[in-house]
Order: sequence, then structure tokens, then C-alpha cells
Amino acid sequence: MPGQTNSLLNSYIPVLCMGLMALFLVVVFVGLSRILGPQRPTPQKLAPYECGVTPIGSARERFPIKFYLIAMLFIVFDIETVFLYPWAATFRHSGGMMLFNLFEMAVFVGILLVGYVYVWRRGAFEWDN
Amino acid sequence: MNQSVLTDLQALICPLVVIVLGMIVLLLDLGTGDGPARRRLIYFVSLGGLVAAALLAVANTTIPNAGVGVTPLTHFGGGMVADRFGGLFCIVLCIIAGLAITMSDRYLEEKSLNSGEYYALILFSTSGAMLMALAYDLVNIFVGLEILSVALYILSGFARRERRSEESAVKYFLLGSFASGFLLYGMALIYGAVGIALKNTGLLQPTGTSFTNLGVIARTIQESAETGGAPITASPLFIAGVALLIVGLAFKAAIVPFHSYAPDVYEGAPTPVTAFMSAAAKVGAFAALIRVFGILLPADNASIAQAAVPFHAVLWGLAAATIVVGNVLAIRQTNIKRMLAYSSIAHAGYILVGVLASSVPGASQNAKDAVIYYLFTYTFMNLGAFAMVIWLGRDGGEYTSIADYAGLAKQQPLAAAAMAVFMLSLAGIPPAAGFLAKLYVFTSAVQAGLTGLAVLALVVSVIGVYYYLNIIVAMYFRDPVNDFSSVRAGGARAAALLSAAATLLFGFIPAGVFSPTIQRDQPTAQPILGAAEKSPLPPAVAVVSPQP
Amino acid sequence: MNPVAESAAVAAGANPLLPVHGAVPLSWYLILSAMLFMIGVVGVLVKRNPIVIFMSIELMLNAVNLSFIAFGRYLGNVGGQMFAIFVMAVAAAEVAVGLGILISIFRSRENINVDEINVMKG
Repeated sequence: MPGQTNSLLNSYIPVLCMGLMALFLVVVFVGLSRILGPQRPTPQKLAPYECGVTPIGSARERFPIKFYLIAMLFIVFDIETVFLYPWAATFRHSGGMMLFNLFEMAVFVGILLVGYVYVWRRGAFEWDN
Repeated sequence: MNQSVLTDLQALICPLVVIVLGMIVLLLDLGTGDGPARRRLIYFVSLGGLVAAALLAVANTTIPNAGVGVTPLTHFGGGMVADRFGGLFCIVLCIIAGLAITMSDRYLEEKSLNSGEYYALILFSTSGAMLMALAYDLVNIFVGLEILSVALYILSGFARRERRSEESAVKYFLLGSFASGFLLYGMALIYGAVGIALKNTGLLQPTGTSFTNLGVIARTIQESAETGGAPITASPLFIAGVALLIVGLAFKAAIVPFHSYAPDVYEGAPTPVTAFMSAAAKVGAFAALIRVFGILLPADNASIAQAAVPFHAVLWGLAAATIVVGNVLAIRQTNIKRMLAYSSIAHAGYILVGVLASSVPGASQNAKDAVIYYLFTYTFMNLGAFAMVIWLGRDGGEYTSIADYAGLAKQQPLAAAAMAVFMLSLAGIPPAAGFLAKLYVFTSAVQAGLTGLAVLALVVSVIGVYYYLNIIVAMYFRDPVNDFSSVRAGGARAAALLSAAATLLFGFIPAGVFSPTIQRDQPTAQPILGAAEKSPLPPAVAVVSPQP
Repeated sequence: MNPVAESAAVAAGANPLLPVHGAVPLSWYLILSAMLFMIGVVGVLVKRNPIVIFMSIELMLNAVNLSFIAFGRYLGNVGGQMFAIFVMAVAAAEVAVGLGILISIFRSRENINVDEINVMKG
């Protein structure tokens, strides 16, 4: 076991070296420009750069609540597909139960569909109101 | 193959019916009919479906309980189990959901809340608790618990325009999912401990073996004890896992010190939701606790029992603390919903006494029956008490202060009488069913060698009499401060009167399948705590018992 | 860790779920998982913003997932992965419900500090 652990650790040493090098270079370049460069700040220079256009207000604006609603619905329906994967992976080994397994997945999707129909008919997808 | 699928489905018929019912209600709510007619349709469809589900569950109550020495009848690859215990819990849950829905009609109308979503959430939540009672795998217990809880989080914040309701939802949600995290970590550790123990035996397990299956866990514990080495119950992973599992379930059942959310959540949630969750969450959590304890902490083998001793000691302490804290803090409450919240904490303590007794082999059957009977009667008296609060409210509000009910007997004698029945029953005073329930639980505790705990519970429950009688005194002997001439009534009155009738009735006559089948000729109990001999049952119980 | 049991199990079959030779040992995963779980617990206890508290809870759940998958891999058992999938689905449901509750409270009071959610006391 210790031998295995060491060989495992050894293989990560190059990665560690690269990380350290990258950090070193960044610190050197940013540090040097800070120390050596002339610093004459003006309001124009300090303003956030927005492709040459004058900035309008803060970037920390509130999002309309609709985005959250869509995000929530997305999360729920998106995660449900995670169950399709193990089902698909084992489906071909189901032998005599194949038809039944297909039916089971149909029930699962059917339940999702009930939720979908409900959300749809309640107007959660309608952006304008 | 098809035959087994059908028996599988039949075993789960009750939760399946309830889930499908929930979906039907949700779809009916989309219908275009006019408001009141649709409300009424949904109301009666929900109630009818619940009655059907309860009747279907009766078939399962004849199957012997899973437990030590009885090979359980498992379904769905061992993940679910159908037995008397699960069947009775399903019936209790149908009653809880039925009463909660019955008492909600006018409340929802007055607050103009969407009834379809509300009833569907109650039904989904109920089905989650049923799955917990029928689960034979930690995965299913977890999924059932989450179905129960997630629906309850939404329900507790259902009155969106009220700050208290929102606040109750946030608190319940954050603390509830925090507790789920602990429960889950406990399950992960148990999974690992069982898997590693099986791996060390050298026997290759099929990749599909579920190490969270309670049957597999029971077998592993047994084998690990028989091989002579340290049993798996002594391994740190396993001990940590069980401890975390207990924390998670204790939170759901509102056991001290994991009860702190209960009063705030119960006070803030809409009253019918409070009624529902004070019973349904407890029933689900206790069903899972009993099931899990019997497997994870078996006491029928000396070397395993040794490892279970600390847990029994801890549970002993939790039960005692829950009873004392619940009763003592209930005294100083002036809000009736908060008072009932603390009282429900105290009742969780009494039930925990029965749960603890159920892990002692000689007393197991009696204790399980006693717990089920307790939950059955608790359902009527607790939901009934909340139904009273709704019945006597009007115009979208309730009288939540205890002082508001002064002089009620002069204006609404029937309501005052029903309330008095609930309070007497909650206090455990003889003519009401609450007395029998306490008697059964404490008797089984004595039988299991938990005499000290039973005596403590008995003594402290006398404190309870004070705050319950306080309400009766206010209703009958004080001058009225509020006008109760026009009250909400409706379904809440029906639910309250039904519950009051049941509470009285089951205090006198045995409650059909729910009455404990007191077994006298059991193998000698091996007390875990204390050295008390198996105590013979007092004759009083034998007289009440219908099936000797 | 028991090196004898591990090498025996690895030799016992060509189970694709079992770890390859020289992989990260189980205890490292478990320690990482325990640390993540503790970070989550501390986050819940010290943070005041419900959304941050909820993120800490999610961290706890994912720490548990790591434990499940590490155990499952070590034992060559699919149960751990299945459990993790269920946890993910449940966590998604909790996110949806939790965000819904938090948004509705935010709409009504413009401030969601848990210290100020205190109409009820006792």
C-alpha cells in the first residue's frame, strides 16, 4: 500500500511543478508592472471599460424573477433525466423483463409528463405575464 | 415474473393509490369549471380516494411483522416490505390525510388559497410517509422522508401572504434539509461499514447486492457476530452511521434536543397544515425508527447487544428529556398552537419510550402494537384539537390565544365539550383513548425492563394535566371575552366531531385491528437497561384486550 | 484499510467497478468527504444569508455523495452510485422548493437575513 501511494503521488509532481511555475510567472509580471510602471490615475482611466461605451449603472442589478422560475423548472426536469442513464445502461441485460422495464420507464416519464402539463397549463412558461 | 410484479404492486397498493390520487387532483385543478364546483369536486375526490386507499391497506394487516425470527415478505428486489406494521401505519396515515383535508375546506376558501395544489401536496406528503413505513432499504426510507418533507416545506409556507407562514417555511426548510444531510451521511457510513464487513468475509458479493438493504444489514450483523470476531455493530463507521441516522430521524419526529424548530413552524404554518404535519411527520419518522432500530440494534445476541447498550442509553436519555422538556415548556405557552406544539413534543417522548421497548425482543411485538395504537389515538386527539381552532375561527382568522377561549362553553357547548374530550385524552385521563394508549406504551416499557423510564414518564405526564386542564377551566369557568356566535364550522366541525367521537369510542371499546394483541407467552425478555425481570401484565390490560 | 482484503478482492474478479491498481486509497476520499461535510455544517451554523446556508447544505449532500461513490468503487458495488443519483434528484427538488420559498420571502420583505426572520419567538 505505501508503495502504491508513493507512485500515485509521484505522478502528480509534474502537475505541481507546472502550477508553481505558473504562479511564479504571474506574480513576477503583475508585480513588476506595478512597481516599475508609472501610475497617473484619472477618472476616465478608472471607469469600467465597456467596449468604448459609457457605462450605465452598476453591474449588480437585480434580475427579473422570471429567470429564477425558469431556472427552477430547468433544474427539476433536467435532473430527472439522470435516472434515464442507469436505466438505459441496464436495459439490455433485462432479459425476460424487457417489456416490463420499458413499461416502468413509461410510467416514470408519464409522471414527469403530468408535472410538465401542470406547469404548462398554469402558465409558468409564459414569459410575458 | 408477471405474477411477482403483481404481488409487488399489491403490497404497495396504498401509497400507489395515494400518489395517483394526488396526480389526478392536480390535473382536475386545471379543469375549466367554475371555482366552487371544482373545489367541491377536488375535495370529495381526495376524500373518496383516501377511504379507498385505507380499505385496500387493510389486506396487508394480516401479514406477520418482519422482525427477529420472521423472514419478511419483501417486494421490489427486497426494497419494500408488506406486513401488519406497515399496513397499520398506512391506515393511520390515510386517516391523518383525510382529517386534514376535511378540516381545510372553508379555511382555504376564506384565505383564497389554491385548493388543488394544497390537497395534492397533502396526498404526496402522505404517500412519502407511507413509503417510509413500508421501506426495507435505507434508500427508500430516505426517498420517502424527502417526499414527505419537501411537500411539507411548501405546505408550511402555503399562506404566502402571511409573514408567519413564510417564516415557518424558511425555518422548516433550512433545518429540515440540514437534518437530511446528517441522516444521509449516516446512511453512507452504514453502507460502507456493511460493505467492508461483507468484503472482509471473503465471500464475493454480487455487484448488485444492496448494502443498505435492511435484510442484508441484519444478515451481516448476525454473521459478523457468529464468526467470533468483533461484530460490525462495534465498528466505528457503523456506530457513527447509526448515531447520524438517529439524529436525522429524531429531527423529523421533533425529539429533544432536535425539537427547536417545531414550535415556530407549528405556530406559523396554516392551521390545517400544522395539524397534518404534527401527525404525519411523526408517524413517518417513528415508523422508520422502529424498523431501523429492530435491525441495526438487535438485542437478541449477547455480543451484539453489548454494542447496542450505549445507543439504548442515549435513547433512554432522549426519551426522558423529550418528555420533560415538552411538558415543562408547554406550561408557559399562551398561544394554543405553540402549546399544542410542545404537547406534541411531549407525546413524541412517550412514543419514543415505546420505540425503545420495541427493540427488546421479548417485548417487541407488544411495544410495536402499543406505538401504533398510540399514534392511532394521537391522530384523532391532536388533529381534533387543531380542527377546533379552525372551527372556531372566522373571516380568515383564528383565535390563537388560550385566553380567547374563555367562556366558550356558554356560547358553543358542543364545541367546548369536543375540546374538553381532546384535552382529557391528550392528558391521558381515563375515559378517553389517550389513557389506554399511554397504558399500553408504559406496560410494554415495563415488560421490556424500562421500569425507570415508564415511572418517569408517568410522573411527568401529571404536569401535562395542568396545562390541558387550564383550557378546560378557561372554557367552562371564565367569563366570555369573544363572541363565538358566528364561527367557521364546515369541514372543520365535521373533522372535530368525528375525532371527538373516535377519541371517546376508542377509550371504551377496542379499536379493531389497531388494538394491541397482548401476547403473554413470549420468550423471556432480556432487559438491556436495568435488571428488571419480565413483569407480568397488569390484569386491567388483559380485560381491555379483545384478542387474548 | 486492509491491504490483504483489497488485493484479494481486486484479484477475485474483473469487476469494472473495482479500483485500478494504485488508485487513490479509500481513506483519502473519506477524509475529504468528512472535511467537506464539516465545512458545510460550519457554514450552516455561522452564515446568516439563507441562500448561503442552503449552499452549505448542498455541500453537505455532495460530501455524502462522494462518500457513497468512494465506498461503491472500493467495494465494487453499484449501490453507492445509485444512492448518489437519488441524492442528486432529491437535492434538485429541494433546490427548486427552497429557492421558491426564499424568492417569495424576498419579494415581501426585501431582506433575507435569518436574524431578521423572527416574527415568532418563544
